[in-house]
Amino acid sequence: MAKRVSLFVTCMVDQLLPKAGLAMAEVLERAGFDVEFREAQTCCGLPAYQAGCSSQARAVGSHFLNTFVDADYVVVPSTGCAGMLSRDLPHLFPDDPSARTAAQTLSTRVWEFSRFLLEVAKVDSLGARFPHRVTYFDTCCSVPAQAGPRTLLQKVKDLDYVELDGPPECCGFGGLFRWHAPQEADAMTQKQMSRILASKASHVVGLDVGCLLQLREALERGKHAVQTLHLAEVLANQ
Amino acid sequence: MTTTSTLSTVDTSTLRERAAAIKKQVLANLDHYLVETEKQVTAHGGHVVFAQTVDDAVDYILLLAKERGVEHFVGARATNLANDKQALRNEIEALGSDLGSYLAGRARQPDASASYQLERLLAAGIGITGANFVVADAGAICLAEDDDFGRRASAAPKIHVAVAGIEKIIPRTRDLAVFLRLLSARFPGHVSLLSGPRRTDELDGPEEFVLILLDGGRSAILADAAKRELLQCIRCGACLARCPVTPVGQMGALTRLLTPPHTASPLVHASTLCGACGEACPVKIDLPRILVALRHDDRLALGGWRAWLLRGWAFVMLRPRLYEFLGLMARAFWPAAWKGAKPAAKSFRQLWRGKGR
Repeated sequence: MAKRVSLFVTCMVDQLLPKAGLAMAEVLERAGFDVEFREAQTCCGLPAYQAGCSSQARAVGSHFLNTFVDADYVVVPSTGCAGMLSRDLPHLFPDDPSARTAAQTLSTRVWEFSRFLLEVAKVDSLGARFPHRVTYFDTCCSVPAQAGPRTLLQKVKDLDYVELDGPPECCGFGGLFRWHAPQEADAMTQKQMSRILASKASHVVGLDVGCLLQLREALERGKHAVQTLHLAEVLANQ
Repeated sequence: MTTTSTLSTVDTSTLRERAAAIKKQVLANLDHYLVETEKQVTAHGGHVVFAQTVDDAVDYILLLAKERGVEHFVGARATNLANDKQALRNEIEALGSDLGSYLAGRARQPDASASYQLERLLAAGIGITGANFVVADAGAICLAEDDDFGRRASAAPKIHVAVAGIEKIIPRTRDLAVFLRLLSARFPGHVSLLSGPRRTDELDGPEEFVLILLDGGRSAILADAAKRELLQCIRCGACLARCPVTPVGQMGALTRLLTPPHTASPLVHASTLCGACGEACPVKIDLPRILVALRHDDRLALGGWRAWLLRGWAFVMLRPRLYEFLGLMARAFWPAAWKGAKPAAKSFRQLWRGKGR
């Protein structure tokens, strides 16, 4: 019997970039998993957690916990949300031992999409083909360069992979950061956009939907033809 | 002939692990190391003063100056401190608290060189320096500088007063091999290990040595598990160098915990939490986690419409059907001019149902 995987598509993918979620489901099915989507899911609580709103973060975190408590694997298309769920979820319940224990158990079953493919499914090639010049943008909460997604991209047929110049750096999204420092956010995004344009790639691939939307908006505003894609969209392409 | 530096062959990640472990061990046993430091400094002919606040340290120095009839001070950062309590206060605060230690040299006035001429220093009765490290087993302070002004200020005047936060203690002299390597990308130009006043057989050095160990809110940080790691900081500035935003602002927001009134500033919100600072930290302080912890501090919590917006957001996220309904409304009535975060034509859950799941 095929193993069961629960999608946590995140509120941003659900509302703003659903094709990334569909692509993720397709890749996981191709890797041999039974894919389910639980309708009660909404958000992981990250915006409130990062903003310092403990009680709101705890409430939304509990909702996630209740929705996925019996899931075998929860696969997430965003590094930011995956980090929240696999690292910070138990911290939301400092005074509630039973919720904290449940959160600790569930947090070990939450996987960021590319890590799930490489470490659980143990596949690095799914017959994808993508005949374009592609670069990878190291996304949210993962400043050290990510090896996994590069491995996956380089196995894609006909894909012309090009590395960005310079060390990985933040795109300027950062949740509610824009509220506090709009000018700095813009300057950061412009800087990263210049790196992307300099690579002459036609597609920039990432693993966090916040970063991808931030870059997409800047690229569109600058009338640049470079497309932003979630890694799953490249891997789903045949 | 080829010579290879032993230091350059040491793996930095090993050094970082080691440095973090040493710092954690000191902080967990700080009471012991404070006593040990005092014992060893005294054994080397020096004197240790414990100051609860910066003002206590200032008062002590002014009293000492009065007793010894001293009129001129020099500091490692500023030279004109005589009879100016506020200047002295600023100097102590900077030396003991913020990024003043190793970075002090870079913050000096361009014409500082003239001020540090030997005649000026000899005329000063008290030379005040910080300390990059306080070495417990040697009863010594270590100064690491790119120039040698701190060394001059420590050696020429009759009295050398070193001001160091209590977290600057490291257990052994040999630990310097770990920390000096991590303090900067290149090894500091001048490293001085100073213990006690001039001995009878020595040609120069101060006649009196006083080490002021400054609490300045540090014991309160030590007692707070969420912030404790901050005291591992060796003031290298690597987090500032790597921050993509406004580094002085946010990391300054953290170092402000070390100066009165010991609260972080609202700037803790002005970070994307990208993690660059934490990655860069040579003593492995989880800076993004501390920034988040500080945001949960009531005094720094979001207020006004932003707080209400997040309350509303949570209300919606707990109600999947309301969440979906509002998504539909947003799609239907999204103003054409708002391009940024325009919702997709259909949500994931609509598309998923459409596939007959």
